[in-house]
Amino acid sequence: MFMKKQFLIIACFMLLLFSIPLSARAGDLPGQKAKGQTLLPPVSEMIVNFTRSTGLFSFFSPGPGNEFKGVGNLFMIGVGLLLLYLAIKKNFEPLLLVPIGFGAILSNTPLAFMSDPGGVLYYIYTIGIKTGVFPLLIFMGVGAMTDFGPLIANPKTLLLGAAAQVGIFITLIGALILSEFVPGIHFDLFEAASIGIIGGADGPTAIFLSSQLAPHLLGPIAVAAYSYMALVPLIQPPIMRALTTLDERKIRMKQMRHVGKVEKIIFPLMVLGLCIFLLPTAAPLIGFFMFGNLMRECHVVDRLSKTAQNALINIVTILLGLGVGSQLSAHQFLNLSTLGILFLGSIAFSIGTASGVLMAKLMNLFFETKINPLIGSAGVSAVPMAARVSQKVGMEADPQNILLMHAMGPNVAGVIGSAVAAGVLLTLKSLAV
Amino acid sequence: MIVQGLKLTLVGIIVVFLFLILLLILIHLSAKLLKPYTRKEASSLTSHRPSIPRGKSLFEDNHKLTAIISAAIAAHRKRRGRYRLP
Repeated sequence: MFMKKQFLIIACFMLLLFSIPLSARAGDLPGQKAKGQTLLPPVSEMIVNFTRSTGLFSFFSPGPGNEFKGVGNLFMIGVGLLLLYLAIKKNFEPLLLVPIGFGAILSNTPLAFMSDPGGVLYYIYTIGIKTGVFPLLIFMGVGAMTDFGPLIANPKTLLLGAAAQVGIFITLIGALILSEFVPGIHFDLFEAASIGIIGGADGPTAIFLSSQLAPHLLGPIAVAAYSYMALVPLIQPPIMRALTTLDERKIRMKQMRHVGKVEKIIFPLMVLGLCIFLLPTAAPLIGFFMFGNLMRECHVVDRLSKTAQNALINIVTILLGLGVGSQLSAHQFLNLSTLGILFLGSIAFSIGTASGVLMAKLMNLFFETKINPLIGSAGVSAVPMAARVSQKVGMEADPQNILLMHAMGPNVAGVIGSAVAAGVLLTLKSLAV
Repeated sequence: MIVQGLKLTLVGIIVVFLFLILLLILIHLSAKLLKPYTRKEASSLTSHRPSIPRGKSLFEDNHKLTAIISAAIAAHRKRRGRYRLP
């Protein structure tokens, strides 16, 4: 009983102490002012201020200038959660979509200002993505993981990789047509080029190009690129089946020749040389890609090669994902352009797939050694998923037909092809009048 | 603006094909030039291929092989999905 009374008295005293404005007490001791923040408003005001600084309040109260800012943030947190769900439950490109989804949630947290100047996500984005550093480091890691053996053994597959890039350019035209005829969508040439590169089915290339040409569209473009890459096993097979006959799908390809070590070392240098002489604008992408590959193939810097394809690429992937996620803000994402980008992205993938398959059929008309047209679809990079799809669809027609290694040729050719296409689109910057 | 897009498309597709066709020619050339090295390497690979140790019956060996292969497949299935390129 006594304890309870004592506690009540102390509580009342504390309440009184805090409710007296601090200025009154501070005034008692002139000349003893401490430096910095020493004053707080009364408790009642503090509580009101505190409720105003909760997320709940800012979600549902109209912000200055933008009435739906809070609701937009809440919606984008929902989008972040959806990306997390797709990554964790459906296994859609989890390496990228987990950081992107989480980044989206963090950057839409009200009053934390993480993606505003001074916030941590702002720095990650500005340092790594706006400058183009992260996508290039990832490209280096991908180069260190890539074996160009199947491509060197059967260089004709380069044509398939080139054909699949047609999707990029058709999508570019599609974006321009949309902005011409659909009210509310306005893409200029730079933006259309960045949307087209989704058809390259290559995340780092898409992020690099859009960070250079249309940084404000980076969020939707990256999300579209990675989502459709995850959907490759669903998008491609119907197109592949529709464009080929059963007999064509049963074509068996002859075993590849042995590719020598020296050939594999010369190859990256050759591609780089070609790039230096013909298309220097593609040098950042192709240069880093081939640098990674040379480290892998020369066998004298195994430590560096292993770091590039494991630790480094993993670290950069985390940061790249968070940086992309920070671009998923309500005012950049919730508009008609995003819907247009998602729509055009699916067109890009479909056309890339179709043109790869058709190119393979065309080549069969001219060359003696037949190739299975199913490997044409692997020309849309998306390494190694697209090659696996070729293998799977091939096995449906003939369970003993192993196409995987043959499909890796056009698959890696597609990576070079989309980097070259990105290089061409980058020249827009200097061509623009 | 669509006309501009068509111009860009034409130039873009030509450059991509030109680049990759030139690369095709270069790969052919390098393969021809480096043929002696490649052949030497390939032949040393085939001559160093380890032969099946004698003394054990083929049947016994098959059992071991089956176990190894199925363990490898199990391990691969477990790991699948974790090592995808980003």
